[in-house]
Amino acid sequence: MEVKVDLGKKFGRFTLEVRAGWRGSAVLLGPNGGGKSTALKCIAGIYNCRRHVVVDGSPAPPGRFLYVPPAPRVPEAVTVADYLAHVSEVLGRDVKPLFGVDGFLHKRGGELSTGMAARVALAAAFSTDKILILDEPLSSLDTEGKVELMKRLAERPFIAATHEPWPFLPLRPYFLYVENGVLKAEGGVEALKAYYLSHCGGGLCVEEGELRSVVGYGF
Amino acid sequence: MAFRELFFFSLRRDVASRHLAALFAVGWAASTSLTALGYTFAAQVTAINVVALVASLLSVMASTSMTVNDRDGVLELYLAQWGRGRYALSRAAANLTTSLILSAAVAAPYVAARGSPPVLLSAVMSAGVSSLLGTYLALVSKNKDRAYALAVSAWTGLALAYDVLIAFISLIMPLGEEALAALQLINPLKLGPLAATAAVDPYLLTMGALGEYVVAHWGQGGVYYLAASLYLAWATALVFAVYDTAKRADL
Repeated sequence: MEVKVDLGKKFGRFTLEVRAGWRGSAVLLGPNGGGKSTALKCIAGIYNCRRHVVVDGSPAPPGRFLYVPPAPRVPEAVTVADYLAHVSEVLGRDVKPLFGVDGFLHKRGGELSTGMAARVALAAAFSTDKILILDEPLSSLDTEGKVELMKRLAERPFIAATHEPWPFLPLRPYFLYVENGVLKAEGGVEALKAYYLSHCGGGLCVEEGELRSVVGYGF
Repeated sequence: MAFRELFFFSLRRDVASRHLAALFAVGWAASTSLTALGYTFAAQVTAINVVALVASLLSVMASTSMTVNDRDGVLELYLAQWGRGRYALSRAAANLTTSLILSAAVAAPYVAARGSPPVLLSAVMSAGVSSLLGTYLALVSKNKDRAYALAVSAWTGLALAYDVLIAFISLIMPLGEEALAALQLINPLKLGPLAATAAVDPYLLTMGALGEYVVAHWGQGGVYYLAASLYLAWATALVFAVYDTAKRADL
């Protein structure tokens, strides 16, 4: 998949101006408030933006993408089973019980933890054939969930925003660094590795040598 | 079709919620207790106005609730599957249908006991325009709290404070009959009770000098057509506002 985006959005003093292109999947990095989520919401059509998105040479309308928010919620009053049944009706296809959601189908949305709600949202999202746009998908998941997410993402194109790029490394996505609403740097896994080696410090420091996934699965 | 999915999911998710169930119970109790006023002319006019008040509150809150609750885990899916325009129109239609059913159910005890169809007309007309207003306010609001605050404020302003404000203005700045008629007809929540009142009170005697003015200028039947025309204009404007907001807003 080859993607080109040209996005513009203004919120008060904040302005997003991102032009980029990549092949395959992409991961957006950058500080809090840098514009990662805004860019994702522009691509998915959640925000009304200046939006020009081309996938494989053809303009891609917002309906080509599905945005999954950072802390997904399931309606409080309905059970997971009812929610997934509704999603199936909307999609016109059955939602598969991925991410272990079959273990808590009888629970209501108000009884779910953040991680369980995230699993439900991901199960719904992975049942579509749309290009997934994942906003901080790792923030609520446990290790097992992260592993399943990465395995499933290896099978389809996606665009994600995260503060934890390490689990994505085995998927070899294209990295885009967005700060103050502007694309500051971009590149592949090697570029990311070089960046972190040159800015080594604290938890973000990696050892020189082979890259390893922090969640401990093999690719 | 988008409407069917939204309508049935809203019934499970929102209509059964505590606050809407409580509002419905209040409306049902009000409608039932109004039957105790008897068959008199004044009782019917009172019922028309009270049931319209309850139906409009129930509808504006239900529609606001059904729209803002889409933000909990389904809005992104709807937008991806249907697009903004289709979502907005389907949501407005689902909200409208739900509100009309709820308001008809609220009016049902009075209509069943006293056989007064104008009470049903008043409830349904008030519910329709209130539902569209609630949908619009929910779409323009950034979050749930703001949406509910706007909905309650709009209902309080149009249904309760409006007449008090006009009465107050009349005290310090006497208004002519034309101005008073215009002020009554410009309020979308007044059009339902006005049309219903005209059905039980063809000469609009209960509206005093204003009623006399309206009947003198538009005739007995004229008030129906006038109220219906203005009601349709309001409904059209609100549908357009819902569609336009959904197209332009950050959802």
